[in-house]
Amino acid sequence: MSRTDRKNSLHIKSVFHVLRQNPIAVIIVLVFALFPAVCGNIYFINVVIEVFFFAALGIAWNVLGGLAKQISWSSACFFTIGAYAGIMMYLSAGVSPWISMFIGIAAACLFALVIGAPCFRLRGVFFSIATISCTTILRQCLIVFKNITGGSVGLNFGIRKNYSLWMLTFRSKTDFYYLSLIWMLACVAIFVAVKHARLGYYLRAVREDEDAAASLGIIPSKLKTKAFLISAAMMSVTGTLYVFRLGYVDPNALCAHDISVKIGLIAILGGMGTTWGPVLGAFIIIPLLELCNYYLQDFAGGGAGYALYGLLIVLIVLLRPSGLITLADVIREKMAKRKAAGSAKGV
Amino acid sequence: MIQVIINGLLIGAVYSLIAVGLTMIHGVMKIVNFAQGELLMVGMYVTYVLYGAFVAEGSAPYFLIVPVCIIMFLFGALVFKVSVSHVVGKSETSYIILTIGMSYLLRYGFQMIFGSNYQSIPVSESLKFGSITIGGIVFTTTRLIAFFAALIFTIFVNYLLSSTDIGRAMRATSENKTVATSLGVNAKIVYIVAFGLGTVFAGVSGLLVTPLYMIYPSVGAVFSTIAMSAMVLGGLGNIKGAMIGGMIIGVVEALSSTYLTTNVSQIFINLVLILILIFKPYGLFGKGVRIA
Repeated sequence: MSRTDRKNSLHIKSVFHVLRQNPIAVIIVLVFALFPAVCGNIYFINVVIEVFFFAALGIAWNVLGGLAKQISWSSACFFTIGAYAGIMMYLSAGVSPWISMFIGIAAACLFALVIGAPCFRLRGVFFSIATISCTTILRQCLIVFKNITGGSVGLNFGIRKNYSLWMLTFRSKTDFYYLSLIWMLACVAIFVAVKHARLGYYLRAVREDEDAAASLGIIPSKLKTKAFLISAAMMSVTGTLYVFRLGYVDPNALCAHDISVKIGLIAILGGMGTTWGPVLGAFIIIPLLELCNYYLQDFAGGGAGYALYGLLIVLIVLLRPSGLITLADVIREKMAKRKAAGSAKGV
Repeated sequence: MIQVIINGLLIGAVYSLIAVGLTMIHGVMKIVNFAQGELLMVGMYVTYVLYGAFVAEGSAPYFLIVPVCIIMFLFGALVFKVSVSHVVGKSETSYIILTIGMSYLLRYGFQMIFGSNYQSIPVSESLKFGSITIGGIVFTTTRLIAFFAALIFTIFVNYLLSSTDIGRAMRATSENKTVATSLGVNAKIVYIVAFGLGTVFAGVSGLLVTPLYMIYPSVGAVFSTIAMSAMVLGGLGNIKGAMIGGMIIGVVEALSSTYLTTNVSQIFINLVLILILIFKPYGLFGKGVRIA
């Protein structure tokens, strides 16, 4: 067995290991696989599709943000690059998203390299602020270069008729539901693979103490750039898939600081550096916003959804700063204790 | 050209004032307040409400500065007590997330109260469009007043920090909290005063820009990023740096939006920020720790 083969099989083994470790997660995934068959309401299915996409983005953010604790607010850039790659290739030459996806990845990685070089020289909150600037620069560039990108109006698919998987045009919403579910699970698998690879351990070393890691021969900026590239590629693919569902791009809505923040918060509130944390975070934040915007849009100026979102963030930081997923550990511990107490009684 | 630079400097002084508030908070408790723009928005709405209630239509809003200061100080102290005090000294992530959550809460809370419509205070035409011409250069009255008010406030901060007891206590706490506390500085009060003052500066900036800008709940987002860039440009925890950073951003914005288009000015502000950070990773006047 060659070295790469053994490495791959190791990754696959670790994926199975995680599956065996998380029976609850497997059950939840199965429930969501069956959800569209039970739920006839197309609106709820759409909300869950949104959840899957944002969970995928949150997981991608977690590769850099969770493992290396680099709080980046430039996620919307890569998401937007993927989306624009998809729609521009389609409009100019009718290219399938399965091909333009890779062009998106290449563009996103290039962009990540360009902004990673200056940003990774900075630490902590300086890094965060510099990444905010990157989102603004990209958005304004998209708006200024009107003749290529459509300016502030964005681009539109128009009517697409040929239904096919190749072009990602579907008759029913449930097809997209399964596509996004599969992509989200793929992201989980990539995250687990990175986490258990050498890179993952190195990143965690950098997270704990950058100077100590550097003194042991790790080059932090190189590792962070690697993680940034993986994260950018994942976000870009999500963007391409997402735009084929949405049907249009709008630079002000897509390449926004709000989107970057939402992606980061999903991962942080769910649990930084944990595998299922972003999924949990997405399942709380996205439905909260979507349902509030839908049902409370006429109530008190329509700000209720985001006001609640803000309140929730503040409360979680104050009450459970390690992320909501750690609640699961607390419950598990309690159950173990009760079990131990029960068996003690039995004896 | 000189005209454009002057315009940039005038508005830059207001950016400086916001950045000084941020720097104050960061200097004392090592927290970057991502909700600073929203505090400015609160200041604008406080001005709007007070103006509507007590001021004759058409007159200038500037003498509201005293009640705005008091209200904003109390508001800042409340915000600190309820939320921010719990993350002082904790990890970077927790304060970043907390203040971001706070910014959403304030922005959309105010949207729920006042609606998302654009509002403005009815100042007279002569104030709004009035100007003074000196040597062929036009100084818009509102901007000129904003400039001097911002300057006075910044000088006041410098005086406060260098020559008063509470200022010395603040500097002591920012350098070493444990030692300061053991020498009899009440860190809790220092924190509240620092956050309150930071809020006051945001609020006063809000008052100063009300004749210039429309008032709406998400107006803070624009100022938030500008103020943060100004602070980082100057070097964290450095009042003079924040002032100069604000001025630089004002000038860059004025130049690029006059000679190119308004959309480009944002690109240039952020490019300047990143470029300066590449060459001076701790800002223009930052005393960064040397990394081995």
